[in-house]
Amino acid sequence: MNIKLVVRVVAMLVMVVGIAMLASVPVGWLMGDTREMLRPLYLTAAGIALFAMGVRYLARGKHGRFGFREGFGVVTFGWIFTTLAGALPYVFVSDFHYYDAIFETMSGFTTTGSSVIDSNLELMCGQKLPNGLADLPYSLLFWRGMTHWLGGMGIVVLSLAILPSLGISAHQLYKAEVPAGPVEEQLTPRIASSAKILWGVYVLLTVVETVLLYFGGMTLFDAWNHACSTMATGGFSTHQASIAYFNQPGFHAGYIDAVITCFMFLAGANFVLHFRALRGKPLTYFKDEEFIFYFFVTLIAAVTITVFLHGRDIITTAGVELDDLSWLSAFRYASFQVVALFTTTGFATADFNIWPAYAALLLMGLAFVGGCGGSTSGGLKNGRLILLLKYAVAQVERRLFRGAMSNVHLNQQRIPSAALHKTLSFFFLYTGLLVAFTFGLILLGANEPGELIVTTKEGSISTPATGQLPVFKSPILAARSIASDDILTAATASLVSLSNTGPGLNKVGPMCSYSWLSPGSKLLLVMAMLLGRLELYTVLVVFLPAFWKK
Amino acid sequence: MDIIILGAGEVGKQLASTLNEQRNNIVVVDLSAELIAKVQDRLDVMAILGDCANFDVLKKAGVRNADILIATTGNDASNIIACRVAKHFKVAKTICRLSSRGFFSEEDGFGPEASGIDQLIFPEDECVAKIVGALGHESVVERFGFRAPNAEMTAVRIPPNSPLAGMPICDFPDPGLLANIRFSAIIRDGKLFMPHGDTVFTPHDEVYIAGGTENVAELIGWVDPESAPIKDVIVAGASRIGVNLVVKLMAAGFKVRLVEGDAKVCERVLEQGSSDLMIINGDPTDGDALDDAGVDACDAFVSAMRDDEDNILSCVLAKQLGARKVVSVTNKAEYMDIVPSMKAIDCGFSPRLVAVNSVLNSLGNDTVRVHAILHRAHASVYEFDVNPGSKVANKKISEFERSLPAILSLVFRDGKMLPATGDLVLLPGDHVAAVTTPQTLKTLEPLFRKRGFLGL
Repeated sequence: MNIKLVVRVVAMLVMVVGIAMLASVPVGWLMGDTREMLRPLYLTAAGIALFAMGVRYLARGKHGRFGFREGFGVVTFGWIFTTLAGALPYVFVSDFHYYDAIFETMSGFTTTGSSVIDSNLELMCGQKLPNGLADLPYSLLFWRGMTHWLGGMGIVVLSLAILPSLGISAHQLYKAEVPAGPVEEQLTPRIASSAKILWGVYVLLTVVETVLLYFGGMTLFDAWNHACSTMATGGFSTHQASIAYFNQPGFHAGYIDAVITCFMFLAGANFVLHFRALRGKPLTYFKDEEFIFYFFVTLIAAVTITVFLHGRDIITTAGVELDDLSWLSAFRYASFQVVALFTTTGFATADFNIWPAYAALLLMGLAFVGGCGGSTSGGLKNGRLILLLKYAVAQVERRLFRGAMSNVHLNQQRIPSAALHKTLSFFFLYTGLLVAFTFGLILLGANEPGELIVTTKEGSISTPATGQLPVFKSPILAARSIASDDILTAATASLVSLSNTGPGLNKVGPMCSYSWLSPGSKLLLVMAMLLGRLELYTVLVVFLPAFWKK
Repeated sequence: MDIIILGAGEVGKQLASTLNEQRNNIVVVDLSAELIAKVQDRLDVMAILGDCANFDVLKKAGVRNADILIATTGNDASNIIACRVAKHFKVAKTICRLSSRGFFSEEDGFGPEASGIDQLIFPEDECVAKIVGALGHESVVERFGFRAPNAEMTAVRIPPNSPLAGMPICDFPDPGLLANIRFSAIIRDGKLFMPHGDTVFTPHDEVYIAGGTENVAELIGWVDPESAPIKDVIVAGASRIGVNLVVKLMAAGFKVRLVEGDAKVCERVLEQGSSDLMIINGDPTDGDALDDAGVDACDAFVSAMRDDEDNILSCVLAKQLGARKVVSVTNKAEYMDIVPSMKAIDCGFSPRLVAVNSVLNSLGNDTVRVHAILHRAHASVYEFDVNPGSKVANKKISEFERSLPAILSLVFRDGKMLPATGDLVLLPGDHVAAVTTPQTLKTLEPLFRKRGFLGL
């Protein structure tokens, strides 16, 4: 790997982040942040930009050859270093621990949307934020939303669109960052112009959503932040109660839910389709196999969960109990949650943690799959799932027709075996990493003594699971450990981090935050988010010794 | 500009990468999935898999909005059909690569325009012409002409026994000749540099000399006065280039023998050829066969088989057996880099590179065009047009020469060649030829361009 060249380009990406960070200073000023709050932010932002410029200057010199290695190197290390730079405001403005700041920033850039910010978060000075998010200055909240927006379409793609000097190596960089799904679709001959188009569509949709949310009663600040979060399929809200906050007088709550649901759905679809539709061919949506699949899965999931929710009592994330849901409200909450999880956005209006097991499991399954290729969402992607299904069917057929050649098509295009194998190994790596991260989390974080519920003839007794059991007089009929709940927590936390979704089940459910996790578990999840956002391979190659050879 | 390149072989790939650097939108089409995958991995272009002569494939490649279509597949018929389709969609410029001249006949009124072709290129013919040019003298490595008929640039390798070896340029014994020619570039140990008055000629330097044909010939006489003229040539391989070369060389009065391994091919060439042609049936990569052809006594040996490896092998063999000058034809880009560094081979030519050269030559803008690619040094001879209002217009060359990173070789005014000496004043409308690397081009081009608002 040509390290000097990689350093140059990474420095450029960090510079872009520094400049974007500067933009949150005037916003904070307009929103009424005090000078004392803004000073550390603009000093940090300017410092980052100047430092990156300096590094770029030091690493100047002759261009070497820009190959695959350099492409993977730039994207992986670019993401790591922009995250480190983006974490600094949390540390300098609001006194976060470094691991909390890194978690929050990586969660922002990778559009995961898991947050450590709540009233229990311990700051470096030992104090806590009594009101959670509401105690952060506006400038920092804006920067938090900005990390989503930049990471959604990709910092590298943004740089390809606005910086001319990355042009030579564009293809390698683009391929390493964009979650393209199984088939790559090229919009224009030059990557720089494709990147411009994608960012153009992205900006347009964000602006439209901001306006629509503003009409729903949100302030412009909230509207913009939520639009960024939606279009990036992120999940950060400016309020502790997420979208359910707007479920109060003064807001058109149903309208806001509907707008966000629609735009989440759009953000989870292929942006190439949006571009074609905007060019006057709206029917292209229903010529795309992946989109049709995505559409119908969303519909079926939403309808079945509606059936389960109808007539039940639920709790919104604002902590309000809603009794005996009508069909319409059931559909409203079900569809919002289905789309939020399927597109890996992770917004929440209701605590699905306490929904029927079918709904909770289905939502996690949807988060596992994620949106479409070429969107801002994470996860396995619908396109890959379709290919895997078709491939599995073809393999079953092969038992009957020996020697049949693999003939899997997607969108009237034959998928070569090499691409199928890549998809298969992606699936394996994805599930394998999921298991590995679950184990890691349990090892790093399950040191809380749980509870045992022991049933004897005399009845059930709850006892702390410290390893020692009290003496029971009568034979034990059954024993149940609450520790198995931790397994669910760890598994869903790994899943929603790897698929860049956000809320999981149990202790990482939509009403909870990640602040209680140990620093080690937080950094482990940071790794999972990065792997998921860059679709595994880009990050994994860095671990090959051959990657570092000259 | 939107450019479609048909064929992702050596020619297409090379063109795509060069034109890509100039920020054009490029679509490459080819039938081979492997070549398409290679192009897609390495270049910032759109690559489409499909038949180049297919209407739908061309439409998918964006022929509706393209500005230029370059048909460079190995299949002549496909190239012609693609150009025809492109013209149907009003593509402004179509360039067609052909290997046979038999498709059109001007005298019968059936020209290339009828098939929608704006420009034909015959890389194999041009390659043959280049080889013939290099066979003029033992020390000549490469030679090409300019738009003025008597102007040329020739690369000469300084032999160890040359009277010029060890002499600085300013001590050249004939100042009158020195005033009429320009030493444009020197390649020493594979590196290009610009000579000046104090530069000392070293043996094995390749010196690019620009000037009038007679003056250049006179200078070559100074460089290498002892070697006998080339008369006796052996050509190995009855490929299209080989046979063409034999015909051209015989017409120029050389004594030629053709060595070909396949007896049937020999028969076929004999049936078409003239009676004074001698063909020897034997494998050119076999030392005995070359011995039989009299390679020890020949002046030059040209290897023009289809296979690059065979060509290189037979050239090395011929040099060992005593051929004075050895020339190889190669196709793969990798070999074009290796061959100049091989001591056993005096010069190498590639029809593929010639094709790239011809296409680029016809694609320049109003300020600059590639005239010839000097593949030996990653540099090119560029032609610049002096635009009215540009920085160099109406100025003496000596006024700005010191700040230039390159040497201006020749100036063409009204179809006449003038050596670009210091006292010459450049007028608008002049064309200037200079040896330029991609880096120096960036500083040179703006000087010739018309200055816009605020001198930008």
